[in-house]
Order: sequence, then structure tokens, then C-alpha cells
Amino acid sequence: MAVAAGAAGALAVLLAGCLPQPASTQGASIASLYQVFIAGGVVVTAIVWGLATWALIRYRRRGDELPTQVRGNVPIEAIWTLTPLVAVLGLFALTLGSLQVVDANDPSAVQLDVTAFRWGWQVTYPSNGRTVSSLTGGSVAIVVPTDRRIQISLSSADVNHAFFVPAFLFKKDAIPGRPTSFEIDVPNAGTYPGACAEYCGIGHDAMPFTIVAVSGSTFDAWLATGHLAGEGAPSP
Amino acid sequence: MPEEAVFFGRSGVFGLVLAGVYWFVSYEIVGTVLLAGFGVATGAAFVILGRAARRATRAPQDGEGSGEPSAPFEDEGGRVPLRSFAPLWVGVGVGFASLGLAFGVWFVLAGLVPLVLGAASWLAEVGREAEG
Amino acid sequence: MIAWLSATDHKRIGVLYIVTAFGFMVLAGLMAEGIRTELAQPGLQLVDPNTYAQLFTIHGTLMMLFFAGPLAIGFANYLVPLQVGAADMAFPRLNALSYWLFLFGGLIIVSGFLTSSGAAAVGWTAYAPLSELPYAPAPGMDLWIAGVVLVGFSGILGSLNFIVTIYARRAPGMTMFRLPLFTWSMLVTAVLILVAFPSVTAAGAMLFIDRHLGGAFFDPARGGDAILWQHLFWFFGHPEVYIVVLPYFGIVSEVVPVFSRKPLFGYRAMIFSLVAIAGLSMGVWAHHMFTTGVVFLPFFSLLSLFIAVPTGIKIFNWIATMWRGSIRLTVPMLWCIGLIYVFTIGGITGVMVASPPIDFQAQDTYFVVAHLHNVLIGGTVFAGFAGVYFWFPKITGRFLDERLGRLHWASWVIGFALTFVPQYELGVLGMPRRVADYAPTAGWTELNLVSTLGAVVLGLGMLPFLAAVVIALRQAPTAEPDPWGGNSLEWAADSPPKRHNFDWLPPIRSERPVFDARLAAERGGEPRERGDGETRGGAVRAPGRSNPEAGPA
Repeated sequence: MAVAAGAAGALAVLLAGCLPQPASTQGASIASLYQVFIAGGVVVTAIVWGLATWALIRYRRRGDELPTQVRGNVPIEAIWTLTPLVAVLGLFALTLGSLQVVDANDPSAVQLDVTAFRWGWQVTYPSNGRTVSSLTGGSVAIVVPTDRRIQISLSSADVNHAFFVPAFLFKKDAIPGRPTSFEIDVPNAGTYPGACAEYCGIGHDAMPFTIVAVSGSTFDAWLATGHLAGEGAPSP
Repeated sequence: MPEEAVFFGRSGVFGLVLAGVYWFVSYEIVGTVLLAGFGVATGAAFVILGRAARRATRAPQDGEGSGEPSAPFEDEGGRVPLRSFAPLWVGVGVGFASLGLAFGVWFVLAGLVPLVLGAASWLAEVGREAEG
Repeated sequence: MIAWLSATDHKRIGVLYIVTAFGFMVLAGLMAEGIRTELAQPGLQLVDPNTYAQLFTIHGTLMMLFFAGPLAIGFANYLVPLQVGAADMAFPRLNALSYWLFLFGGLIIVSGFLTSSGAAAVGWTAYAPLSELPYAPAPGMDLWIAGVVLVGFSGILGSLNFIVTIYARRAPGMTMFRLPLFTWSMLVTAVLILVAFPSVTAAGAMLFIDRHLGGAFFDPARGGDAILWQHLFWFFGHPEVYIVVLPYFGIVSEVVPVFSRKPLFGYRAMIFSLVAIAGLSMGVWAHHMFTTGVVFLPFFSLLSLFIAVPTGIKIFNWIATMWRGSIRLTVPMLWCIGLIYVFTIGGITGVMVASPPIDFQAQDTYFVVAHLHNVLIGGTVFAGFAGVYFWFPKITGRFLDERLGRLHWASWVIGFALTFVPQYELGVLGMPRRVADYAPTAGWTELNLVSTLGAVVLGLGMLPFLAAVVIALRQAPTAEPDPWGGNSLEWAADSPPKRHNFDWLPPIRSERPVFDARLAAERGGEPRERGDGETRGGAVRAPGRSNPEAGPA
């Protein structure tokens, strides 16, 4: 039992420890949900592995005697039916809570129109029409402000793609004919790499982009001039 | 109602209820049609099995008899069929014909030959068994 | 050879299915070794991106549709008629046709590699519009559609056959609630196949119409809808996941009681949980589409989370079956125990990705790759091997070597952990799936290298298994009808059984007729001899057979 619990605990620490530091408030909500699920998973694993290990050690065959032919036990079966049921309902409630955070809308958000294509990204800021784009195989820097909500509208020029920023713990599909959008807060300045997550052909692994989060004033200056001022220059 | 039919009946009710719930939470047409199709199909199997159960000899049910196999295979005397190449020919024909999806209609025509030959010998075998 | 090509005997067809399924598994496994070798280091060393895409596409397609499903159907072909006490399937020739359609479907998909532009290269999910003609002009894509449609028809015909066999060919006394769990799991699986496969068959036909007949079902530029493909594919694809798991749960439910010398704990609860998993699986397809932004998340999340409950019932009931039992650690039992340990992790990570916010992170990363291999190797493959070691004496009359079997088992448990635990971490770090290459600066190199070493262990782990099969087949058959102390009716037949399976049947008063008969004999009941033509102890002789071909061919 102790060994099983230790192994499961080690796995949980490994997984939780490897979660990227969330760079968005929405990502932080997802990360904490991750941790609740992992903790629950560790408990379940410890119980199952512990019971199985105990049964294997204790009830190895020792003679030819036929064990008592127990066919079932309704109260015990009810326990391991109802307990998981309550547990998953609890996890569902937490899921809904996190979805509230991830799906929240702010009408004053800064708009970005992102179009995925084979194999790159084109980003337009509708407020003044500024457009940046990546060539195939090259990266594109998507500049966003740290002091405002950002709404990213996704569409695709050809096949399905997905806009994935590991540091946000978030991705959304870009599907032709089905525009989608999501909103994000990036409170800290920095550079966060992103990639396409939906297989889209042989260039799928070569359409990187970066989210460059800068202060509000730097962002406004960049939007007006296209030049990124020195003080907001991102450090990787 | 035999257990066999009840199984499909419950599936049908489940599918239709799920389709209803899904429609009213999502108003999404494709999934609703698919779920309703699942419910209608299993429901139809329930109706057919329920009717058949009233006519035909019933398979063993719980709570009936002692479990003594009074006469095993009572309907199976000589039922095990001879070896047959007919399924292989039909399979070759269908396989060849489906290559036509990639390489053009000539494969479909080529596949028709073994398909027809196999189907003919299949029917002939069944006919012989039904007589003999 | 002629006997195999013209077989209508469910046992021969079952063996054909099992051997062919393992053939496709070895082929798809070699493709996996190619994928892992390419990913061991950053940079493209072994294959170009297009070949890489062909490898992961055909690997996934073969493993799901031509190994995991057909292996279960192979076991079911062999066992269901035996377990219900019948002489054969209800429609023996149709059964043979199902096999040929499966074999030719697989060969047609693999034959894409022989065309100049290669096999399909769009992932086993074949998402439109990537699978439409402008993006996938190669005939390999059409061959993929043809193969999937053929195996779809094979599955539908086979399912009808299983349902009719279970419903109409049961021996006297064999009520629905005396059927062995494996037969129950095949009944539930067959119904799932019947309701799920038409969806992908229709989707394949629509895709073909789009590609060559001017249709626009999935082409948004001409009024179609790319999401429609995902709905149709996953309405098949998620039940398919349970189609390739439920029969294997059935195998575990057969093996664990025999080697614990106890009846299955909660027999009816096990049937209920099978049906519950199957029912719920019909309503969870769009949990593969959480990130599309066009599905109602709470509905699919809640139903997906609910599946944990009946799955938990199964795991706890297996442990309860072992509890206070008399456990023999034979090779089949080792595989089942490995399943209980490993599958639990896959179930838990399945609960995680059922929660949309977590799925927003995990979807299309190596976390999902690790999760699906966790349930398919830790569930399907482990139980499949348990079934092979368990029924090999029944099928061939010979035993697989225990020491080679334990080596096979140990290398797969270790190889599994080495391969897929790092992939969970890679997914959390953000490595997308289906990439042929990654940057050396991404920090994924060490984990990928460990994962590749694990894949090598898995590959080498097949060698003791193949050696054990070859060694066993060179020996003379020695197996008794009931070498393990079995429960269900197949253990009342000879090893291997006659063409018409049974000359006698024990009385069927529970789901363990062979156990009951053995117990009655041990406790001083009437002596019981097999095949002596006498009616003793309730055993009844089958009526004589006039068919000259009825004996073993």
C-alpha cells in the first residue's frame, strides 16, 4: 500500500511539477483544475493499487482448499458505485466553475483577427488595420498588451488548424467556415511560444508563433508605428 | 417480454431520451439526428424481437426450467455447413470493386465477375441444404 | 490451405481473425517504431514529413480498425458459439465473408504504400477538409476510404451474426443471465458496432462523393461544413473506443475468476456496467471536439465523466473477485493484474481530459497520445495477450511456455511505462501530436529519447511471445479439455474442439456450468466421462450427425 501510494504520489508530483507556469489568468484557472484532478487521481490510484497489491500478497494460493464462493455484496458494491458518482459530480462542478473563468467575455477587449493558413499565421488588429504575417516555416510575433483583455478571433484559410500556446494551457481550433474566438488576460510581460496543434499537412510542425506581451503604452505605440519601443522589448 | 427484446427496448428509450435532452441543451442538428437514429433503430429491433418472441420457440429464459439440457442442438441437426469458397469469391469481388474507388471503374467491372460467381454458388449451396 | 480458404467453421475463422489481426499489429507496430525512431532526436533523420504522416495515419488506422477490433472479433468467433453451447455461428458463410472483407480492407489500406504518392497521410481521423481532394490528391486517400468502408461492412455483418447467435443459438438452460461475461461483452459490443459503424461508412461515402463526384459535404468554400465530418467520424469514433475495450473487459472477467477460484464478484453489476458504458459512450462523441468551440461542453463533459463510474465498478469487482480467493499467478492472470494497475491510470487521465478546461490544454498534445495508448495497451492489448495465453491450449491443444510468457509480460509492463509516462509529461509541456520534428531548444529531447527506448523494449518484448508460439506449435498437443479449472462451456469441449464442438453438455444452472459439474464430480456425484456416448450425471448426448464433412477438416 505504502509503495503504491508513494509511486502514485511521485507520478503526481512529476505531472504537477511539469505544468508550465501559467502566463494567463485563464491558464491559472486551468492549472488549478489540473491539480485538483491529479490529486483526486492519486487518491484513486493509491486505493486501487493498494487493494490489488494487498489481495495479491494476502490471497496467493496456499492450498487446494476451495475459497468461499462469494458472489457479491450489495452494500459494498453500492459504496463503490455511489462514491465515484459523487466524486465525478464534484469534479463536474469544479469544471463548470473553471469554464466560467475561461469562457468569460469582456466587450472592451482588444480585438485580434488571426487567420491560420498552410503553413503560418496572419494577424490583423481591426482597430487600425495593422497586419503581421509569417511566411511558411517562419515565426510571427503577436504583440498584445498586459493591461487589457484580449479577444482573439480565429479562422482558417484552408484546412483545420489549432492555435496553441502552452504557457496559456489553452488552444482553440481554427476551422474554415466556422470562425471561433476566445479571450485571454496576460498580466505579465514576456514572450510565450505557440504552435499549431491540429494536423494540417507536412508543414504542421513548422508554423511557430510567439505571443509578445508588453505594457499598455508600449502596445499602443507599437500599434501606431509598428516599432516596438525598447523598454517593452521582450526577454525570452 | 424476453430479456433479449428488453435489452433493445431500453437502448431505444435511452437513445430517444438522450436525443431529446441533447436537442434542448444544444439545438445542434447533426448530433440530434444521430442520437435519434440510434434510438429509432434499437427501438425498431425491440418491436421486431418482441413480435417474433410471441410466435417463435423461445430461447431459454431466467426462472424457467431446471437448466437440464433435455435435447441440446435440437434445431441444429446437420446444420453445420460444408466448406465453401463462395464467401471468399464474394469477398474478392467486393475488394476488387472497391479498388475502383481509387483506380477507376474498370476495377468495379472486374470485381463483378467473382462477386456474381460467388453469390450464385452461395445461393446454390443454401438451396441444396434447404432441400436436403 | 484449401481448408482455410474455404472455412466456414467458426473456430477456423476465429483463428484466421486472430492471426491476421496480429499480423496487422506487427506491421503497425513496426510503423510505430519508425515514428519513435524519428522522434528520438530533434531534426529529421529517418523519414520526410510526408512519409512520417503516412506512418502515423496507417499506424492508427491499422491498430484501431484492423487489430484491436478484429482481435476481439476473432476471440468472439472462436468462443461465443462454444460459450453459448452452439455448434457454430448462426450464419457460418456470412461469418467467412466478414473475415474476407476485413482482410481485403486492411490489405487495400496498406497497398497505398505501393502507389507512387504513398498511403493516406491525414491522421486516422481523416479530418476534412485536409482529406479533401485539393489537400490529399493521392489515390492512397481513396484506398483508405475503401478499406474503412470494407471493414465497416465486415463489422456490421459480423455484429448481426453475433447477436443472432447469442439470441437464437443458446443451449437449453443457457439463459441470458447465465451467459459468460465475455459473451455478454460481445453482445453489447455488437450492438455498439451496429449503431456506430454506419456513421463512418456514410462519412466515407460522403467524402468520396466530395472528392470525385462533385459533392461539397465538407467543403466550406462551397457551402459544406468541416465540422460535419467531425460529428460523423466521432459518432462512430467514440463508440469505437469502447468497441475495442469492452470485449477485453470481458476477457478479464473470464480469466480473473478462474485463477482466483471464485465466481465473478457482482455478475449482474458487471453486466449492468457493460451496458452502462456502452450507453454512455453513445453520448460522448463530441468530447473529441471540445476545442472546436461549436459543441455544448457541459453535456459531453458530464456524460464522459459518468463513464468513470461503471468503469470503476468493473475494476473494483475484479479486485473483489481476487479478494479472499486462491490466486494463481499464471501468465494470463499476470496480464489481467497488469491491466488493473495500468488501466487505472488511463482511466484517471481519461477523467481529466473529460473536463473541457483540462482538455483545452491536453487536446492534440502528447498527453492525449499517452492517454489513448494507456487505455489501448494497458487495457486492450494486455487483455488480448491474457486471452491468447488463456485460450491457446483450447485452440491448439498446446501450452505457451510460462517463462517466455513472464518475460513477455514483464517487458511489456516496463516498456509501456518507459514509453508513455514520458509522453504524459511531454503533453503537459506542450508538445503537439503528429509532429515529425521539434526544436532542440524545446526541452523535449530527453523525454522523447526515453520514450523511444521504451518503444524498443516493447518491440523486443514481442520476441519471447513469438518464440513461445513457435515452440508450442512444434510440440504434440497434450491439453486436457479443461486445463485451468475453467467455468464456461468451452472448457467442456475437447482441446481443440470438434467441428461441431460438443458431444455432450453439462447441466447449465449458473454462469459456471463447467465449474458446477466439476464440483459435483469432486463431491462424489456420479462419475462423468466425456464422449463415451452415455448419458450420465445430467450430461446429454447430442443427436448423431449425418453430415460427412462435419468432422475436423
